[in-house]
Amino acid sequence: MNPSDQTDRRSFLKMVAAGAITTTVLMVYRPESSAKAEGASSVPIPGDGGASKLKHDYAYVIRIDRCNGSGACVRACSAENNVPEGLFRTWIERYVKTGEGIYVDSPNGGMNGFAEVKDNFKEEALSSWFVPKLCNHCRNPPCVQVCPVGATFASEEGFVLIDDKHCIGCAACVHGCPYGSRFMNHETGVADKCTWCYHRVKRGQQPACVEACPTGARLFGDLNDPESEVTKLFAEDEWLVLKPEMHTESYCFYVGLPREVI
Amino acid sequence: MDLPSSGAHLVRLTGLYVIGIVGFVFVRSAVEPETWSREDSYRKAALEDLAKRPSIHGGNDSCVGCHQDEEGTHQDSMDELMDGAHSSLSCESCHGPLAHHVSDDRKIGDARIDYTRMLCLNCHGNLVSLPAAFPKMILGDEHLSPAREAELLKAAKAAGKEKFYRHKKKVHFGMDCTECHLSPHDPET
Repeated sequence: MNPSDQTDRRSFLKMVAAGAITTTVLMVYRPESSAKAEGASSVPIPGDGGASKLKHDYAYVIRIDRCNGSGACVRACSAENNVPEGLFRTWIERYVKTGEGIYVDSPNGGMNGFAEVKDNFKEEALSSWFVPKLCNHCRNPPCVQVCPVGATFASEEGFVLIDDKHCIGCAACVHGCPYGSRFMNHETGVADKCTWCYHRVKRGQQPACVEACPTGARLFGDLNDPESEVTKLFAEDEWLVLKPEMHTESYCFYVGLPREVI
Repeated sequence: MDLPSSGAHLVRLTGLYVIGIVGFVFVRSAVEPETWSREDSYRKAALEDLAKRPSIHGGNDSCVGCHQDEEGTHQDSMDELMDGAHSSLSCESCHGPLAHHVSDDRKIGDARIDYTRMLCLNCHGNLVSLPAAFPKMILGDEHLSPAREAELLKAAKAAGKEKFYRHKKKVHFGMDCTECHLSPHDPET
């Protein structure tokens, strides 16, 4: 080692201090300028009537007090979207509250309805209800955050979609969704989930499940449209979302959701 | 041995960085898909691909246009449906999707028609999870405790659906609903 290259302790500490201060200053100034840019395209406030720049602000409403567990939605979705047997883009759960606890099931996703299910808990049920579930098309989607290749994404109108040509089938998103809405499709080899029937909505049609629902328990609409049923229900503010503690900013609003639903 | 110069380590590090950056830019330009958006991190063409998928269901309006010149057309069924309690129903939820029946304006298959009681029981069976005001068929073969019976009768009365409750006395096991309710479209016929 060349003796003249050695620094003494004091100079070394001065260099470290100067380096640390410079780096910190640079770190503090950079994020601010990028935050300003982000502010312009930040998440719009739902239901603000079009004040945000989006043309459409689609949302989904489910009225628990109207679901009769027919399963028409599950069958329609399966036919519309080529969902393989045994996998579900949307499904119905049945909750039965008895004196001993809460029982939850979803026989074949509710595809055949619940009329032929053996246990009907006729005597023990204190209360019971159906909960239709599907992808919540969150505004802060954990699945989009975790995808390593950017195959799943949130479109500008709120649809969370999968680019099946780009997906590598790692299933990190399946793991990341707190609602269990995503699955690996063994026929296509890539991740799959409810798309709110993006192909139908783009043509002015309703999603297949909404169309098929016999009781009007499922509704889909544009929060920027003041005439939409969804906008009116949203404004009444009697809704809850699933797993609010996950801060996913879910866009499926449940009216009449009992507290026991997970 | 000659020692490296005093700044050699910096030169080597810089060199590695440069190689890394150049390599990265080169590989990225090779694998990045067309229409890839760097701000939004997805392939914009995926939206078009998704929008191109065909609609399998047509909605109620897509059914009425057919068989206009025959008796008992789809329009007649629709009129019947709109008259009765089943007016909120979708034709396809019982009869199957449009795409399984018609393609390119030609019939490609029969629409599903289920005459059995299961079609009705799918929605109207005596399920404990049904909403309180929803009409339930309590069939003749069902046994319930008196307390539960009283509860259901009370709920039926409160919802104004007491007439459904009375089915318990009349409907026989194994009978199809359509033997009395001639038209599922308007069940009160």
